[in-house]
Amino acid sequence: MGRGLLRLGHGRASPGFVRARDDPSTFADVYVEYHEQVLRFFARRTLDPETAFDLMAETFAELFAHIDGFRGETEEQGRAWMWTVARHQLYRWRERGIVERRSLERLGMPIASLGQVEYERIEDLADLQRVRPQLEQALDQLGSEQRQALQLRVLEHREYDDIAQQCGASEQVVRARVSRGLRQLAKSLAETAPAESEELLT
Amino acid sequence: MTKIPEEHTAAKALEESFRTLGEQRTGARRRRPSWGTARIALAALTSLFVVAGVATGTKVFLGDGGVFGTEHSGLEGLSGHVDPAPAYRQLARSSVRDPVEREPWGLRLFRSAKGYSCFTLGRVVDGRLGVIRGGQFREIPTRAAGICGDLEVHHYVLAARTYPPRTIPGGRTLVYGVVDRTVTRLAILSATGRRTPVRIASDGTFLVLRTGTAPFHLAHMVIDGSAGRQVQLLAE
Repeated sequence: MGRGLLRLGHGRASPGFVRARDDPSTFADVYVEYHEQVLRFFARRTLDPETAFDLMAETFAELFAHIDGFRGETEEQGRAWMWTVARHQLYRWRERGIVERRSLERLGMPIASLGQVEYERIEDLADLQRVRPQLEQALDQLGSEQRQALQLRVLEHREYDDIAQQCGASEQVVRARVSRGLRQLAKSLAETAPAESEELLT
Repeated sequence: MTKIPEEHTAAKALEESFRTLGEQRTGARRRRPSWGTARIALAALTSLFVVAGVATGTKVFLGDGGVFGTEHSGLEGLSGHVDPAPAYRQLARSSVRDPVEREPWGLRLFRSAKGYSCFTLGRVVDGRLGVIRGGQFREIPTRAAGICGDLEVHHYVLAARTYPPRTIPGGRTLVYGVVDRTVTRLAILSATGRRTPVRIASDGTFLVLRTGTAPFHLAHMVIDGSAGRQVQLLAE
């Protein structure tokens, strides 16, 4: 009988990290269960859907790569490990300004590009309205094109194609302007509120 | 457990990757021999590891968004990670001269049992692929592992290997791989903007050799074609 079966503890039995350690074919269930929480964690801190997705992917790749070494016995311990890895990824991103892909590389896992639906869903997860006051303040520090794009997208909730038309630029360019502006905002938010709040983790 | 919606394609693709990798790992554990069997296998495979030792210092690397093959070493082969029963193995048409040593570098192509395109790097002598150890050529066994990737999905599989100066005087770095017909041109774009075309052989393979251990620092592989993109080469 595999370890972790019929074990009494505080954590849930399934799907879980303990099960994935005993049977790695179930790790995908762990990913399905938690990926959105982790994605929200990164989206709220990076304010950039693509960066958030890449950080989420690398977090789960690292968890998968080291699942054999997971020593916990409950799901709670598994989640604690997951958030430790996620925080570490975020820390490295803030330090270096790039998303590391060490585990993804080692596993040979490419990341697909985000489609429009997925991109906008991650924007929703970021809950940009939460940072509206800081955003309004930060807008003054941006260039006019970025400011206009951010204002229309985040404050006025306009669609990208609509903004593109108004700005006379392609949708891709507008997305890049919004993305760069949000990244800048994320940095200034991290400087003003560096403490991580545990309640935001879930 | 909530399902990932189909329209969330990137998240769904990751789920599929974890499912495939997880099943491979679970399967490998089931196939792993007992310690007694492993000891016999180790003894039998000692010569293979001498050959596979070439992988020491190997770097298979990935730039932003690049698709690189997953390398399987001979040791992993013992625990069953190597795709078994390749459909064929043949010497690739790409080869390149070594600047100092006599034996040219080449690739052996094969298709894994799972249908991936795979290749093994080595030195070519009399139509055989091997390694040079102490001045002697030793053929790499046909069951040896290689670097594999799904060409049908990604259109190219890249790899790189660095040999430190202690293994070959001056060190060597090789960038190599295979592309499908959707890729029309390959080039290496250096950090200074110099573009060096890379020849694609008729079987889709390519092989670039440089002396030293970091000749591709900040360089990119430019891939032209329907799957066109630039991939940063992280040779460090």
